[in-house]
Amino acid sequence: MTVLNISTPEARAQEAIRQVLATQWDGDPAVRLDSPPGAGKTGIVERLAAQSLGTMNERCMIATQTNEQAFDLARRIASNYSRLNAYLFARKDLPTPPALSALPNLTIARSKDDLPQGPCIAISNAVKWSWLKGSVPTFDLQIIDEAFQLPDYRFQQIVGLARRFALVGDPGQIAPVVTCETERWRCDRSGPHVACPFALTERFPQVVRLTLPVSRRLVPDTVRFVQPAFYPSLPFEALAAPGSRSLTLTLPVARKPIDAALDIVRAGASLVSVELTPRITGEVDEELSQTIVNIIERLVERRAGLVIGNERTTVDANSLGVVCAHVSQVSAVRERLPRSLSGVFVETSDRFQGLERPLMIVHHPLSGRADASEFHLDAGRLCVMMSRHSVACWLMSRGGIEERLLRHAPAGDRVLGIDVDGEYEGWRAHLYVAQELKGANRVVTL
Amino acid sequence: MAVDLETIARLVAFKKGKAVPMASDLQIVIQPDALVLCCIALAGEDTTIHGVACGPIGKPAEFLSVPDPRFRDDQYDLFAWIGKRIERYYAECRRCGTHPQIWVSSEAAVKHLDVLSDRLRYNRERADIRRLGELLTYATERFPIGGQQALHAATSALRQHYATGQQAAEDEHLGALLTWIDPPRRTNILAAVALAEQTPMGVKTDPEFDRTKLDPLVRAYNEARRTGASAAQLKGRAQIIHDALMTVVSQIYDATQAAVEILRTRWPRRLLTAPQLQNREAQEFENFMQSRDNGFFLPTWDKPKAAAFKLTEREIALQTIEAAICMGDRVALAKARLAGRILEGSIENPRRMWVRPRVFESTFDLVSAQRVLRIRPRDELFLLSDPRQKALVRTVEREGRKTRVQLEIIKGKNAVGLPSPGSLQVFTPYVPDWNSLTKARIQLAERLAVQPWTHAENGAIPQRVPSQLRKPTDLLAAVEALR
Repeated sequence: MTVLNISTPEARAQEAIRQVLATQWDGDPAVRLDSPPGAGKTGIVERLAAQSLGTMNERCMIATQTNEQAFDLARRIASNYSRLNAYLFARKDLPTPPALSALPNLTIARSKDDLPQGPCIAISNAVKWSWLKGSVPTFDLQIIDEAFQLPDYRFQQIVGLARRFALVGDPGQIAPVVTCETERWRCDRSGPHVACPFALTERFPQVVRLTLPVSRRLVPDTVRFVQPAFYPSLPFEALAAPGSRSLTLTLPVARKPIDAALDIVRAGASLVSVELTPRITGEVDEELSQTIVNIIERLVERRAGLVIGNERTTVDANSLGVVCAHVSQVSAVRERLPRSLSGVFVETSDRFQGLERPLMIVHHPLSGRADASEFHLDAGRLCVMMSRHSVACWLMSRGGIEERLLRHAPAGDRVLGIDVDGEYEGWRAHLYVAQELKGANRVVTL
Repeated sequence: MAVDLETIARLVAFKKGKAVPMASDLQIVIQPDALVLCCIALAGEDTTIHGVACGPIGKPAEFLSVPDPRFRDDQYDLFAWIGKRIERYYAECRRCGTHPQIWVSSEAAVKHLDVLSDRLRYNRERADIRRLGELLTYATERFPIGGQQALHAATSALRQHYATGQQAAEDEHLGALLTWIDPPRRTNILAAVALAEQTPMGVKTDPEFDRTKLDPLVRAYNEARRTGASAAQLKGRAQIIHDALMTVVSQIYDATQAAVEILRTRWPRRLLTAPQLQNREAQEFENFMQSRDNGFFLPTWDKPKAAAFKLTEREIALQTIEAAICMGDRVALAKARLAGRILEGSIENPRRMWVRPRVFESTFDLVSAQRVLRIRPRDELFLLSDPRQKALVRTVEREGRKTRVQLEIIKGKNAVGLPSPGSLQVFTPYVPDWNSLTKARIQLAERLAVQPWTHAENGAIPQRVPSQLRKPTDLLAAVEALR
């Protein structure tokens, strides 16, 4: 793995991009690019595709994980590179957003015959690519976006379509979703259920591995907690300078207990834990859901604003996001939001992957639970939740999580031949976050 | 939230002192000629069979045991005895174009068979033992696949249909589970369950029984054998061991038969898709047997291509059976409704608007009172009552405790038509597609016909092939210039 050593974060970020682009000129058959949250993965995917067609005159295919991601990427490439023609390869009866049809350099290809035989950029989701029937001219480059979400058995079905591969993604997030039983392969580090970048480098350790050293989204204060907790082997830093992004409150007088959570952010903290009275509540915690809505309402009441570099904006529904572990928790928050704030994006961590908001409120996955299951301890889930914000994040929970973690007896279900203990990693990350926030006086008790 | 429904059912069962039904239809197919197989291993020797009971459902068992399964020849003879019965049964199923079905007591018994099949199919000493391993592999490899009908654990099958008043893990004891389903009169249910749990129902005998009874008998047999006892003496000692084991095995066999009988007689409504489940199993069985006829090897370790096929099959099978059960079973539908996996609500504002000549847009609102919904804009949903109709979710708006979902009909505008205002409709993201597995296999065969280096056996990473074009001095600047 190559780690760069250049003077400023911006220079380091740019040099990393140049290095990724150079792998294609060097003809590396496969590149694995590990990226921390908010490091500009999609920007790199765009640039790789633009270089492939625009300067190398190649056939380039991009595989995303969902249709929505394919739509978004097609829109971004067509808008940002208006001189390049892109193709969105979509199912015959798949409704596409009308905005895509309006882009003059984007063609929606409904069958493989609509794809050009020569140089092009073709975008689709991995499943659609795997259902390609008959032969098409081999692509020169295949880019897998959010590659750590793609299990190897799905990668295998599309890998024959291209000569070179670039697997771009975040290794610290939620593992690929495979719903069926996979016991048969659990001892196999390159098994069909494993995320394809891990499986590929397990089979071929000599595959080129690069990392992005800078997060454009996260601020230094957040990186200080997130990097050691979730990316112990992927060092990265924040592009933003300390204090360059902040929350302002026009009505500064604190009158409600919840104001303490807002004021600590105004004072410069980007990660704050807000704890309610310890209680076992089960999946849906009505009081916690209401407190989340109270924070949102209070931000608006106190006329909160955001300072990002030289830009100043007022906090509104579009600046805010709420992320939960369960759909039922999402529903509990949504039903409490007043109509004026119904635009606040409330979703589960799975669906929040790849998205960001300046201000995030996290429904802690272990809040109100009597147990700590593998799902709730998953380091990837908490990592997604704690890395969606570009300014500040409130981690909402019932008190007592640290004590519960310290009492937790791991199932210890170790697998022969597998070095990684997911349960331990999750437990360690959760405990680290809880203890570090406490140690930094970032806990507000309501 | 589906978990909540099960928790409530467990609380009700606890209060009533009796298991409560958790399904409206029989979720599995019971083959009339299914085979019940109950094996007991020697303590500490997980790949042995000390005693076995075997027989068709509704029929008495045949029993066989060995005095000490650590004597390989004796053990192999017992395996051969089982193999003969399985071979005969499989051959009969194949002749009739159906599929075999084996019933065991619990998931522990499934694991025991799995270990045995993995071990025996590599036997190089006796072809009949290897053959038993291969035949058992059909059942054990099918077991993890959703909707399979080749191997049933009685506890798992009953748990699909009943909720008891105890924890889920405790349901793995077949005796306890049967006690919850048919509790004895005038006896406290917990006392009755505690008593039932005294009887072994897995693949091991009771440790106390081992220590005080079985172990002395086996030691005595081995000592007699070592000191050259007569054949008659050895036979007598073997018979005592057999009698001791059969008291244990017969109870497991009877309990497994009782479980099948409960499901067969008390669940008259079959899933609508039961014939498809049977057909699929019969096809899988025939494919498996043809592969054996052609001499293909059964690996323990899958190469990437085989693994891709198997995992794809498992994913499709699971999705299909979940959709099939949801379409047929009222309780499954209720669970899906609570979990927000389906969308249910009343129809408002159905409208058909002219777009251009001969093109109309059909939309309607569905107002749901479901607390939890997994529906998102741009999701595609099928009308549960007539899956020819497919609708696209345009918007999802929360209105307090209700949710208004605007849908556009994208298929079945004429064949099914607009739903009537005020009617209650259910939409689901999946409907069972029984051809999907075949289609996926054909596609996989095409896609994986040539294994690229990334997944080829002993594949090597190819050499770099640098571009022959002139490389820009600043690659990033060159790309930015394309904007």
